[in-house]
Amino acid sequence: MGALAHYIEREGISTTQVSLVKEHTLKINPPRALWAPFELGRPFGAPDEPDFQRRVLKAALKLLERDSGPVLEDFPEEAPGSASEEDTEGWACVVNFSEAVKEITVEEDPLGALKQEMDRLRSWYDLGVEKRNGRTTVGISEVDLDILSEYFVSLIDDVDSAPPRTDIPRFQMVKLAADDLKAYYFEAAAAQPGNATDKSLADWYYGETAIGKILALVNESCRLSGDEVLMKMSDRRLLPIHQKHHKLAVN
Amino acid sequence: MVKVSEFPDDERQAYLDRDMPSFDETPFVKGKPLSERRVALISTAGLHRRGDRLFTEESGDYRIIPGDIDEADLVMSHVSTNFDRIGFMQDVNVAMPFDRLRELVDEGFVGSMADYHFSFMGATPPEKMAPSVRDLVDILRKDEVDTVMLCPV
Repeated sequence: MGALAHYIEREGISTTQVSLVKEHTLKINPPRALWAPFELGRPFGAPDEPDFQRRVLKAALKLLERDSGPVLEDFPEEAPGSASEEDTEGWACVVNFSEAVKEITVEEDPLGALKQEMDRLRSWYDLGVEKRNGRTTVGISEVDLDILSEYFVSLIDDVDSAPPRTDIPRFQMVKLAADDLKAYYFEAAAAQPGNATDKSLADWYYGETAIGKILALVNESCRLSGDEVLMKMSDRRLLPIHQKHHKLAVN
Repeated sequence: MVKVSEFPDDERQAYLDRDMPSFDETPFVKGKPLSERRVALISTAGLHRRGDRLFTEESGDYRIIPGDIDEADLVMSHVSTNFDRIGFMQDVNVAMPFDRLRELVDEGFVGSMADYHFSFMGATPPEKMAPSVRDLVDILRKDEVDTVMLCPV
């Protein structure tokens, strides 16, 4: 981000920015930056907090009133809802996927298990979309979720299985399928009561669901595929850094 | 929480030690009072209009986002899994504060809002974005933009 500030400002246009990683900003030394102690992905602090977002934006813009630079200033407030982990421990998906109620397991029928799980989340997903006046982040692949589910599960046994889109590289198809499925689950889970954070949803998604198990299996298929691009992607793009412990311990 | 400080030790250090371009000096352009400035937003969240070209590994180009975009049409194809996406799912303004900027124009805090805004995909090494910035700056000038608010992810 700071490098872009250099490139644009040297063309004669003033820049200011939010910084989420102070160490990087100190190295790059852009003209103006407001360091904010927010989560990655949330440069304006928190969703649906217009007053707070406006304060952050104003503070970043006010750096433009300085006569000389570079300027690196700290934003003094934590984001609303940036609760400590104790405050978010209470979140749990209210659709129960425990073995006791799960009729289909990933081990016996991965596609069946996935479809069953997605069906159970459907009402929450629909409710979330309704609350946001029809907005959803699902659909980036432009492929129907049922087709994506079948494709994703097929990758467990065969990374060469026919992709639903042939106009994009295979690694991108795999990644888009993973992203769309995750978006569906996260939107459904975030629509439920409670203060769900990205970490609490990720702990549930990667650690407690059928899709989490399938993802670990697909990750492993990609890692062992012999295809350099898929192997690299399996290391970096399918599991977040804080969920690497869900990688399968298979050689 | 997705804060770098909460990454596992080895990953945190690798993240902080990433290769970065170095700059001998920092340019500094002074300008008009805020109330007379025309502001564009530029994000590195890999945002674009639904149906526009997806970002992929090392995409150095940008996507144009009209200021009056229906937020249902604003999507994200950033390749990283290491940042929070729930905030953006719930409210685009947490990543790209279109509504907030519009409000600041209405209250006279800034002069006006650009017609066009932009997004890159931040996982790309910045050097690969540099050639695209020249085109982008031409568009900014035609739109009479004198100030850019950069929004990381």
